[in-house]
Amino acid sequence: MDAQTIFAILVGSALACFSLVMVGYSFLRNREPQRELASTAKLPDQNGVGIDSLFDSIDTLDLEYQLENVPEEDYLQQLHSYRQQIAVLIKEQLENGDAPPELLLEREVLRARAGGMKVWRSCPQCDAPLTLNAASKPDGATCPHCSASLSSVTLGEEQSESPSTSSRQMTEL
Amino acid sequence: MGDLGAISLWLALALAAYSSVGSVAGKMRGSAALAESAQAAMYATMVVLFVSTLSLVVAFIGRDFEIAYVARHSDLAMPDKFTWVAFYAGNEGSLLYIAMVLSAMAAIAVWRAPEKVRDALPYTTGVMMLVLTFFLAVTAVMANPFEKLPFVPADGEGINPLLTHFGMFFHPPALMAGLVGITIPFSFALGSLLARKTGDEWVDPGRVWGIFTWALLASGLLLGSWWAYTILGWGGYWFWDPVENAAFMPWLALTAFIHSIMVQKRRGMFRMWNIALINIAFGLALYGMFMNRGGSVPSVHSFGASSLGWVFLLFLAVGVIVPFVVFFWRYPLLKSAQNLDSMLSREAAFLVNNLLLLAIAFVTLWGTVYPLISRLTSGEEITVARPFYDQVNGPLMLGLLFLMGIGPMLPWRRANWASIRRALAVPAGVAVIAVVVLLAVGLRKEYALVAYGLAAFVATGILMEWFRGARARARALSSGDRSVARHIQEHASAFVQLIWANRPRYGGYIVHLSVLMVALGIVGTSFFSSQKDVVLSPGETATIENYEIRYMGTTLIPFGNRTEYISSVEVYRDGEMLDTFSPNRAFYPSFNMASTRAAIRSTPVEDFYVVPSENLPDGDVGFRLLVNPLIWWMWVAGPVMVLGTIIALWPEPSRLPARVPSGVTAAASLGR
Repeated sequence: MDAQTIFAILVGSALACFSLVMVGYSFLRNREPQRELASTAKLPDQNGVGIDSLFDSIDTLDLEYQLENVPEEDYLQQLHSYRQQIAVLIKEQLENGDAPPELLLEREVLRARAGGMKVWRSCPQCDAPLTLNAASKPDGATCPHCSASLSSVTLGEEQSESPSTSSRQMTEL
Repeated sequence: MGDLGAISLWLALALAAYSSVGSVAGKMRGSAALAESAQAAMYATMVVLFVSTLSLVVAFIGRDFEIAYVARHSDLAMPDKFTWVAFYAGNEGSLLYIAMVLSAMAAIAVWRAPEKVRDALPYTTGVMMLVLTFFLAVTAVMANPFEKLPFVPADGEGINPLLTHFGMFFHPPALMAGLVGITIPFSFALGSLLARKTGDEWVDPGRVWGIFTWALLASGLLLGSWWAYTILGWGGYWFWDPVENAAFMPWLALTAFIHSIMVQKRRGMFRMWNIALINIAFGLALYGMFMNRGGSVPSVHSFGASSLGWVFLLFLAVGVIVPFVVFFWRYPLLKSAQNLDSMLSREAAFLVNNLLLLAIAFVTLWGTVYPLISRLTSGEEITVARPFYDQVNGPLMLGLLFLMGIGPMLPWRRANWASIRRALAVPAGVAVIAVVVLLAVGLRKEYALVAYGLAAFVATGILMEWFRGARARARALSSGDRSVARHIQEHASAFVQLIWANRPRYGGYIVHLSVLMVALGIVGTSFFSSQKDVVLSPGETATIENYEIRYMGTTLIPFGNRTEYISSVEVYRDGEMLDTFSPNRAFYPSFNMASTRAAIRSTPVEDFYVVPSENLPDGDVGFRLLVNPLIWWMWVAGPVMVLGTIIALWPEPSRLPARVPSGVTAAASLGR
């Protein structure tokens, strides 16, 4: 047996061992060969157009409008239609509980606004920072630091958007 | 190295087969461990195949003539730089290369697969690995590149002289990678169907891999044309040869696919159509493999002596029938999310573009298989030549050019006549002016006039869109400073931002410009080329158009594997000396074959082309002289197309929540 053949057998054996380790590793790691194949969460837009695609469509529509390929009337109508589709998809995501955290947070803010409650970033009495939950509790919410009542103080400039704006947003769609 | 190559090849075959079966079985039985193990086997296949490929490269570098394939495709005189070319000079090496490329692409595709296709990924992996198993099985069993000779010859037979050209470093690998690469988007589509994921989950990877393989095929076709132009000695670049057609047809189907997949991505439409298109593209790619690796139609490319034809024919039949069976099985689930709003829309333009592209593909397919059909039906082989393709495909291609101008002007969903008229007025005006100018300078060929008019129409449309987009963005960027320098800076910055913010769209336009460049070259050479064949003694002259050549003599240089005849030719234009050309012709005794190198003076206006077609015993030389207008644009189109493809494929940043339009989330929250 010449040196080349020995070399081939050695490297070939190493490759075979490497392959066996690669193939067998998942069985060894799990020690549970029948573990069920995890399914990805069902996305709400699986049978429709995805949210990203709808945002892309809005971008493209904006561009087409800037390029004067789309008249204003069509532009507004299509924009409204895309926004409506996005709203429906986000609503489904929120209902299914698989929405991204940013959307969940925004929902909390909007809930607070829709309920006419005051949303504070910091306690008006002791100036301690407040969490969203503490600030948006129903009547009787208090500052966790100084126990001052948050519902008894006048609405300050912390509220980022007037209630009329959010009402308008909600009635718009 | 032959033993190591053979061992790793067989090991790769076992791994690929396991990966194919394990992926599908793991998914069907719901066993994550099995599916993961099969996926790991796929990665291992790539590593093992790399070792096999490396073994063959090392065998070529070391001129290991004990290996039959190395002895057949190299010799001691072959420069080392051609080792890579020799690697795929025959069926055995080509198949190993194809397997290596497919395995690498499959590994990258699975590794980078988006989350939304995870459910279907085991089926996708199974399909990819099944195709790979086929190629590896054929390589290992029927065309093993590591087979040994019973003796070690002192020298090899040498590399085919036609392959010793710079273009050969890229043309065959790009084409083979493009053909086999179609397996990737096809597998994503078929995997999704098998997993009952009949929505748009597979669209993103399908689009990216579709464009990538499209670009590979386009580059391969262009480089092949350039190779034919410079080395084959007949002065042309496209022969409608069956093997050329075999790569051209899947490219056409992929062109249709990468347009229509955008409609599905944007509007959730054409779901059935896209699956059908990628199935057709895959079927045509398999047909291309069949033609290349043992097809029964004679071609300058095919490996006529190969006995692999029937295997590829069988695989072609399976590869066409099975996907369509799955397609019809899942047909009831493939409903589009939207309907076509209007025939005056970009979606409709894409649909017509798809139909034209497929029509060209099927006309080409008919012309390619007609010799076979005629042989089977009448016993007489009737070859279909260029006039057939020109007459049938020519008008269809003009139609495509027209759509390339109109399509980008149409918005998605619907357009109205007023906006179309406004958008098309300037491009149409420029097209009319271009035709009038061409008529005024004496051009009278209708096809050429229409083609150049359409080219002006398309180019103006694209440039106008760039200009209007940049202007709109510049307005937003404007600082109020009205100085000219500031104005130019704002517009330049706006232009770059415009392209960067809309990469798929503007990358696509750059590719459209490259197609226009190719069209310029094709029309120029098809309608205005001049050719003359002359035999000259030293000191004699010949003229063609406003060029004159004076043949000065030939120098004979013997090499180990060939004898080169280098002619010296002085070139004059309008009486003024331009250059001295040294076209050459080499004779390879071991191949009983001559290979030529044309001397070309290339400018954007025209090429002047001189090639020695025959060296006569008395010292006279037969020359072919050509003046090819605008062909320069064809070769420049290649890099432009690659640039456009890179821009179109450059990943887009993920969307941030801040981009959610106001009002949208508020509405969603109402559903609490």
